[in-house]
Amino acid sequence: MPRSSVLHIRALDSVFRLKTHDERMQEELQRLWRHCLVAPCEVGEALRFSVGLADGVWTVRGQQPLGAAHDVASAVLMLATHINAVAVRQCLGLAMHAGSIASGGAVLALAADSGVGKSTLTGACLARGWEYVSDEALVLGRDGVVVPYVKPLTLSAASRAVLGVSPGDGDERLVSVEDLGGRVASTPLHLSEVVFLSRQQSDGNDPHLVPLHTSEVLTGLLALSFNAYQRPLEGVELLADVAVRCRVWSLRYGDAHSAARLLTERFHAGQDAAPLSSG
Amino acid sequence: MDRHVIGPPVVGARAVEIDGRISVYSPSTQDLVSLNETASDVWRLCDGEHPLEQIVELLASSYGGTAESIVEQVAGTVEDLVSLGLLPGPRED
Repeated sequence: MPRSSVLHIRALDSVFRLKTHDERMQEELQRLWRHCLVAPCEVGEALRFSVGLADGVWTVRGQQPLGAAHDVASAVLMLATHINAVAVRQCLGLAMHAGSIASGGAVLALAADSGVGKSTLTGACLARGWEYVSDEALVLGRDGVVVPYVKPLTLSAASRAVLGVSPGDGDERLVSVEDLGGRVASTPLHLSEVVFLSRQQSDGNDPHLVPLHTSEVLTGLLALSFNAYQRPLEGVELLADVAVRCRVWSLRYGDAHSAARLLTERFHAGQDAAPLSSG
Repeated sequence: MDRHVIGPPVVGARAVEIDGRISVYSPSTQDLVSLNETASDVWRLCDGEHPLEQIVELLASSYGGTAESIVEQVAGTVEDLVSLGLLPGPRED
């Protein structure tokens, strides 16, 4: 009888209890979620998930079966998808679709809908010295500070090829920040720059970074929010408080590495170009 | 010229101003409407104290132009704000 192992991870304001009997699965979960692991003594109420292997098929369960997979990578991705959905839905702050990177405590948000390329650009920026905050969500606490959400990055096969990480098989896979040569940002973090992303075929004129009026952050980020519908007026007021300390940009780009180079030259604290705005 | 007083904003409308531009949250649609600088100027005067005629004159004076040159734009902006549910319809002064 295999010995079961239990991990606890904290993702935003939710804690998850992950149980598995398989050592490979345990190691992979620990590796990918290492920055979110919490000790059992720190855990109050936890949402329970399990990943089991039977007859060569992995089964992911919450309170009920959530799906099946034929390899470890697919199973951990399935589990992460469910964890993420719960984490952003239940978070107490304001969560918005945006990759988030930091330099010297100042956060640059890469805001865009799913599929635009947030995670790829986030990964490309990590390779240039930015620190990791999230590839999925910019989360503002009620006090306006940025809450890190250091989940493993979700990258398609094409994105992994662009970033030069082991492509593996299948389409989407989870990749740790360390796999990309990056490191996790230290807190406290404040929002400094908001960049709305627009992907296009490279035409020789990109990447193209254009300043926007600061008020654009209100409508732009609210439209990308996971949970503003729960407390819309509170979201407006929180963003208005934060926006006055931000600069807002539109970035049109085709190649993630070129865009990352431009963002680094313009905004990274180690660069000589435009200084980061202070919070 | 119309002597109806414009505004005040509907109950629950919440305006926030950032760098001279106002965004208004509509309680009825739960949408946020962002106004440009000119519409923001109009909004500030839609406080239930001024009829359209006076709003036009105040803005014309502020912009250094004539009331005739901006009256249509201002009236159109007020109509838009009413149709967006941010201002009540006109009422008698």
